[in-house]
Amino acid sequence: MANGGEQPELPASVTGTRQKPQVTLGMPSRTRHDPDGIAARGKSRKGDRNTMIEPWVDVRADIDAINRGEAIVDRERATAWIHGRLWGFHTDTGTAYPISGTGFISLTQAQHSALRMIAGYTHLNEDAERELRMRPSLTDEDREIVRYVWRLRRQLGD
Amino acid sequence: MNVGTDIFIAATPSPESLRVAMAHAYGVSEDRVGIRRPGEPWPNTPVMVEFVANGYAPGDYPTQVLPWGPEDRVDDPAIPASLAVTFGVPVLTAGDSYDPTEQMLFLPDGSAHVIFVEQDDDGGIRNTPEMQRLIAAARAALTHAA
Repeated sequence: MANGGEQPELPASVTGTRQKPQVTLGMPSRTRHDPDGIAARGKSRKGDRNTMIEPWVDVRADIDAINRGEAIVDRERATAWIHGRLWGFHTDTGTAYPISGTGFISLTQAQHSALRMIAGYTHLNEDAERELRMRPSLTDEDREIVRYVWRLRRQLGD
Repeated sequence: MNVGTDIFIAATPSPESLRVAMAHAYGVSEDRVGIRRPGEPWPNTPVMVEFVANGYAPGDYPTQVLPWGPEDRVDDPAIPASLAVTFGVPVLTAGDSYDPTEQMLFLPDGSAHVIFVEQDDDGGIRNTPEMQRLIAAARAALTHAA
């Protein structure tokens, strides 16, 4: 996949130069960006800024490569492009967070709230499916994305 | 109808008082706002307020709700700002950044502040020293104005 080897082509929207970030980056919050961390009381963000990381992404490899200075880093915007993925980072703490790219799934607010609804039922059971169908502002495609992300969870067998 | 970002309120208002406060915030009559808990039917109203996980969260912001409504208002900062003034308590919602720790703190004196805070693993949000300082300053300003 895109965790090593050649860098995918740089999108025009990505800015910066190959350099180390001004802080040492740390791992992203598991509860915010890992499908396993989806919780009923999680917090949604505006627009498509609820980003999940697919389990196959080697997050540690990305963070280590960024800290070695191998990423395209924009220190002003606090972003780093590596292995086809754009990461943001907090300039005080160095905590990284996913923005876009290969293996990142940007969820709309409606999709994210539906995932948290399922978490409230613990499983994608009959009641959760009924709620999913009733929930406003979701297209059939949205529902498929929600089911897909829910099934990325490694800790559940449903 | 669109869904907005979560609103965390540092109080536990009754569903009815929340409905009235949201109607005031949106500038609509009270019969235009419906309250919805998990498992209940969706109200047939232009504005709906969904209690997340029955609405009650641990930490300093025990009420968590999601607004549903017209696209141009659903993420309007005037909504949480109005709730902070109406209930006289701090209200939190997501900031504009991709940074998940960046949030907006609305205070009873009408002020708004960009702050940085993480949601704890238990789903609760706790006031940081910076938030405590801002809240105390807002209370002092309100006391002084009175």
